[in-house]
Amino acid sequence: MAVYNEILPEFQKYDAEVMGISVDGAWCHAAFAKDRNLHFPLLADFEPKGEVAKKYGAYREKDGFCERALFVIDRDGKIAWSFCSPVAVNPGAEGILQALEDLQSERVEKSA
Amino acid sequence: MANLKVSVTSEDHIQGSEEAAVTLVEYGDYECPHCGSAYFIVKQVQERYGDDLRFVFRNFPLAEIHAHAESAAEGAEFAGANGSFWQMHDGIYENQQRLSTKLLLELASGIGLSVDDLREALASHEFAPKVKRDFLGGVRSGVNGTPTFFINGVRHDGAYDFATLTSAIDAQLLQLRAAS
Repeated sequence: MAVYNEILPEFQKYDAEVMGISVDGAWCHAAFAKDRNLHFPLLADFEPKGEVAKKYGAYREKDGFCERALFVIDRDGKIAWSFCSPVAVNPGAEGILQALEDLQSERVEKSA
Repeated sequence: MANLKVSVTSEDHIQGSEEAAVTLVEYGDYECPHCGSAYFIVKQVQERYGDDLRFVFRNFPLAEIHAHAESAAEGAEFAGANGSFWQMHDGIYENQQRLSTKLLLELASGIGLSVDDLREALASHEFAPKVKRDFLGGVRSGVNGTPTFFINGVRHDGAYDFATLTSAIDAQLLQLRAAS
């Protein structure tokens, strides 16, 4: 989150928006966002718990929380890229930036 | 597995021999307490490996959560441009709990650098582009927080305590010896 928060301008170069989502409640998110000075929204998949995460195949039924999963969604609302990291490993931003770059070059090719 | 995308060049701040078998690259933030503990561990690791290890420090300031991280990084780059990077780098980490512009100026004066020049460089953000280059290169290499270490170009995803870091370096040395 800290890295994404620092590189928001990089995402904006690709006309992309960042959103975080977890099964924690809105108040919990508000406190976290305030503490970390986050400049992007955190969504609460709280009630019914994990409903959105389940649709993305990113809910850990046994643990009751989400996977550390990344999704890049294109302009048509389709998942263009996704990555599921081991829970203990922060996936960083490189995969996301690469996916955005690929989407952009695809668009350029199509319009050429 | 994440790999270092920006190779080590003379633009980098480097300690140790160019011939070293292992290069340890750290992406760090001067205000990050974890980097503060890693600083002392890296010193021990360097002592243990001597000429077998080359150490490189690159900037990765998380300015949104650490108010002084950016100016500290720019201050260290200022010292670097004047041939004293490591003295400033070490000075900041050794006094991390009182990191402030005042500390940077005090350290500069102690090293024999011009306090006025540093003040000016910080005000004009003269070294911000260099810091930003380090940062973006880190992002493209998969830096996911601070500190992030790369051992011979591969991101070290384990802990950075002395035992874990040295066993990862030992494994790398063994592999190199087996290959040669």
